[in-house]
Amino acid sequence: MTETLAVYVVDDDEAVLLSVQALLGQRGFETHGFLSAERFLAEAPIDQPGCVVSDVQMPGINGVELQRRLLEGRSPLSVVVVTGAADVRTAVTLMENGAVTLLEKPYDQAGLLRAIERGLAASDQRWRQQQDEQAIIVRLAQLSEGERAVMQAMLSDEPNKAIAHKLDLGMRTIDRRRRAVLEKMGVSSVIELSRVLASLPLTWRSFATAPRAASPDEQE
Amino acid sequence: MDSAGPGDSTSNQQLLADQLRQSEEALRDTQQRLALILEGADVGLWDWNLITNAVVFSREWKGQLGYREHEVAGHVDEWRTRVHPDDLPPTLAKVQSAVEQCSNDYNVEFRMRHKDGSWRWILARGFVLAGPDSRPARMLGVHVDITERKLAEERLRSSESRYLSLVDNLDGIVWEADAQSLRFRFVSRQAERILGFPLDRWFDEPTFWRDQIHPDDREWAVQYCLDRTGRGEGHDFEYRMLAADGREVWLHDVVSVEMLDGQPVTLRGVMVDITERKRAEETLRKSQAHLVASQRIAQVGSWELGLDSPDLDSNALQWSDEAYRVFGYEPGQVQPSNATFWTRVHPEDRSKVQQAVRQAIDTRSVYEIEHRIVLDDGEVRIIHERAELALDPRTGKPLKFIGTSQDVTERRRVEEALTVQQAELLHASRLSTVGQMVASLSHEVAQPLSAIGNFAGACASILESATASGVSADQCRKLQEYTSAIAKQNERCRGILERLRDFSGRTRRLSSCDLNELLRDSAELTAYDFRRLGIALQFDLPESLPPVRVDRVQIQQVIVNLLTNARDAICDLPSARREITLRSRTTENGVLLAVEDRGEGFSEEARRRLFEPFFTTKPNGMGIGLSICQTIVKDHGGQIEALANRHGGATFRVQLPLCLEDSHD
Repeated sequence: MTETLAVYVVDDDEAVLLSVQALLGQRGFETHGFLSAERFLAEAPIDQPGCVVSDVQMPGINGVELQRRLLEGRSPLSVVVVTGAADVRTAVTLMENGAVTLLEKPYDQAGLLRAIERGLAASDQRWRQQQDEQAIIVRLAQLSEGERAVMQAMLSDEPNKAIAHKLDLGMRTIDRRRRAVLEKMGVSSVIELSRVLASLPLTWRSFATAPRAASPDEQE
Repeated sequence: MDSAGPGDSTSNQQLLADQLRQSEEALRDTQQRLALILEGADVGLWDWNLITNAVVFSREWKGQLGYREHEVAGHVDEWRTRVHPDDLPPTLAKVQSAVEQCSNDYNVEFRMRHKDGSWRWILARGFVLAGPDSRPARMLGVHVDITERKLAEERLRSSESRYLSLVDNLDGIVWEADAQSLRFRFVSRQAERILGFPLDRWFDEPTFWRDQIHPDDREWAVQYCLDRTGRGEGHDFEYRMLAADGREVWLHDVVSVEMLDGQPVTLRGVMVDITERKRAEETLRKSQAHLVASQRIAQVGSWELGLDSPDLDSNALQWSDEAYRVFGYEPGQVQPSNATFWTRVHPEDRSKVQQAVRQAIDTRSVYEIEHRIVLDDGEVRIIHERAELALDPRTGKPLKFIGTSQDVTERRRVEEALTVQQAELLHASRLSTVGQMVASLSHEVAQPLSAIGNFAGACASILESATASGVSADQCRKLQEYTSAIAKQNERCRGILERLRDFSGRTRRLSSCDLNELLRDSAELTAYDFRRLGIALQFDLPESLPPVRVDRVQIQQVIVNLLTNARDAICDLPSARREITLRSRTTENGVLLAVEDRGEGFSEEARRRLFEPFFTTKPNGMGIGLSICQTIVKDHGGQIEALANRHGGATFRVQLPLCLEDSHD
C-alpha cells in the first residue's frame, strides 16, 4: 500500500540526488528529485502523504527550515533527514519537530530504506487521521449554537433535567437537540461522541466545545 | 798779581809767585784733570744766574745734545725749550722747590731734545748758592746723559712685564715653592682661573698643594714629588686636583729642583691643565675598548691588507685582536700575513676566495664572501668577510683593503635550525588548517560515498530481481549507468583525499604551476564550508596566466588561509555581503592573486600589524595564519599585502615572481 506513495528527494548534490532516486526506483518507489528545498516547496503536493528525504546543508532553505515549514503547513509528509555532519542542536531540533530519523552520510542503504518505509507508513497514518479530523470538523461546523451548548452539557455527563434547568430550556427541546447532535456527529452514543472528539488535536477540541456568542438567528 | 812790588821783597815775592804759580799750576792741573774727567765721564756743567737767567753751559753740556760751542746761547731758555713737554712741569717744580729751599739736593731726570731730534734722558743734579743778600743767586749743576741706562732699564722692565704676562697668560700655573716645606713662594695668575682659588690661599696655607690634590692621587703624588726632590731630580707627573667648585682638574706638573750645597732649596715648575686631553684620551680609550669589546662580542675581526705589491702574499696584513681570534690565534700569537690567511682558508674554498679578491681589485668593487676556514685542530668554521678598497685619491689606484671577518658559524647553524623549525611550523600550521578542514572535508567525502552506496544498492536491487529471469536490456542499461556513476563518485572521493594528502605533505617541492589551477583547487578545499555558510565565491580569472614556479602545497595553504580569513570576516553578515572574489592577473613582475571580501575590513593599526605573529582580530584566533602566509610568500620571492577596499572589506594581494625558464625541475 505504502509503495504507491511518493518519495521526494531533496539534495543540492546532483550525484547524491540521482543515486537515491536510482536506489529507491529500483526498490519500486515513486521518486521525485529536487535540487533545492525551494523547488520542492513550490512544485511538490505537500498536502498529500509521502516521504521527504532531505539533505540538511543546502544553500538557501536548508533541511531544518524545510521540515519546519512542512510542520507549520500541517503537511502529512514524513521527513527523513540525511546529513554530512549534524551538530547535536540541529539533531534535537529535527527530532523534536518529528523527523522520522536522522541519517549520517554515508549511510547504509538498508537503513535509508527502512526509514523511508517507516516514514511512508507514518505519513499514511497521519494523512488518514487528518482526513478523519477534517470530517469531524466538518460535522462540528454543522452544529447550531444551541446544539453545541447541549453537546457540551452532554459531554459533562449531566442528566437532561439538569441541562434543561441550566440552559433554561424545555425538556423536549433538550431531547431534540440531543438527538440532532448525535445524528450530525454521526455517532450513536455520548461515549462514542466523546471518543471522536478526543481524537481531535487539542486545539481543535477546544474549538469544537468552547461556547461561542450566540447569533440572533440561533435563538429559539 | 804778576806786577812786582818794591825790590826788597823780591825773594818773598818770588816765593809767593812761585807758590802762586805752583798753586795756579795745581789748580790748572786740577781743572784740566776735572775737565778730562768731566769730558771723559761726559758730564755737562751748567751755571745759572738766577737773577739774570744767564747760564754758562759747558762744552760737554752742549755736546750731550749734539751742539757745538757756539750753537748754544747763554740763556736758561736754551735749556727749558729743549726739555720734553711731559717732563718740563715736574722738573720746573723741582727747580722751584730747590731754589726756594736753597737746596743743595736738586736731583731730577728728564728728557731733552737732541739736535738730531731724538730724546736723550738727562740726569740733572745741582745746588743753589745764595747771594750776599742771602737770597738764591746762582744754581750750579751737572747733566749726565743716562739714556743708555734708561733704555736698559726700559728693556729690563719690558722684558720683565713680558715675562710676567707670559707667565700669567700661559695655560698653566707657573710656580715656585720651598723644596722642604713645599709651600708656594710664587704662583702665576692662571692659578685662579684654572683652580678657582684666590692666590692668597696658595701662599698662606702651608699645605695648600697637598690639600687640594684629588684624594686618589694625593698620597703617591706628594710622595713622588718628595722622593725626586730629595734626590735632586727634576720630574714631571700627572695628577688630579680638585678645583674650588669641586671639578676634577688634571694637571701635568713639570718640576725643576734648585740645589744649594747638595741640598734642594727651591722647586720651580709649571702645572699645565690637561683635563681636556685626559677626557679625550678617556673617550678614545673607551671607544677603543668599545670597539674591541664589540668586535669580540660580534666576533668581528677587522684587518687591513696593503696592496703595494702586485703579489698579494708579500703585502702587509694587519689584524685586530678579534681577527686573530676569528682565525684561531691568540692576539699577537703570529705575525699575520696574507700567507697566514691562506693557510686557514678551506682548501675547497681557496679558488673561490682568490677569485673574489681578484674581482674586487679589478672592478674596484666591494669584496664580500662567505667561506670556510680550517683551524689547527681541524675544526671548520664559516667566515663572512667584507672589505672595501681604499683608493689613492690622485691615481685611483687601490692602496689597501680594509675589511672585516666575522665568524658566522653559529649564526648559520641557528639559521639552519630555524629553517628546519620554520618548515616544522609551516607543516604544523598546515596540519591545523587541515584539522579545521577535516569536518568539512569529511562531508565532502561523505557525499560521493553516499552516492556510491546508493548506486551500489540500486545495482544490487537489479541483480536480485534478475537472478530468476535474466537481465533485461533496460536493466543492463541501468546497471551500466549506475556502475559508471559509482566509478565517477569514486574518482571524486579519490580527488578529495589526494588534495588533502597533498596539502598535509611536508616536503617543499617547487614546480611550474598555473596559478588559476591552484586557485580553483584551493577553492575546492573550502567549497563545502562556503556552501554551508551560504557564501558565494566569485572567480575573476583571466583565460591564461604565465606559469609560476612554486611549491603547490604551500601556495594552496596561503590561498586556503586567505579564503578562510575572508570567510570568518563575512560569515555573520547579511547574505548580500557574503561574497568573496578570487582574482588573478598578470603584472609587470609576475602574477598576482587577490582574495576580496565585503566584510568589516580592519583598522589602519590592525593593517600594519596583520602579518605579525600572534596578532589576531579574531576572538579565537591564534594569529599565526597570516604570518605563515607571509613567510611562505617571501620564501617564494613574492610579496603579500593587505588593502582596505574602497567600499568596505579587505583585499589580500599576493604577488609571485614568474617561473624562470632555466629553472625547470
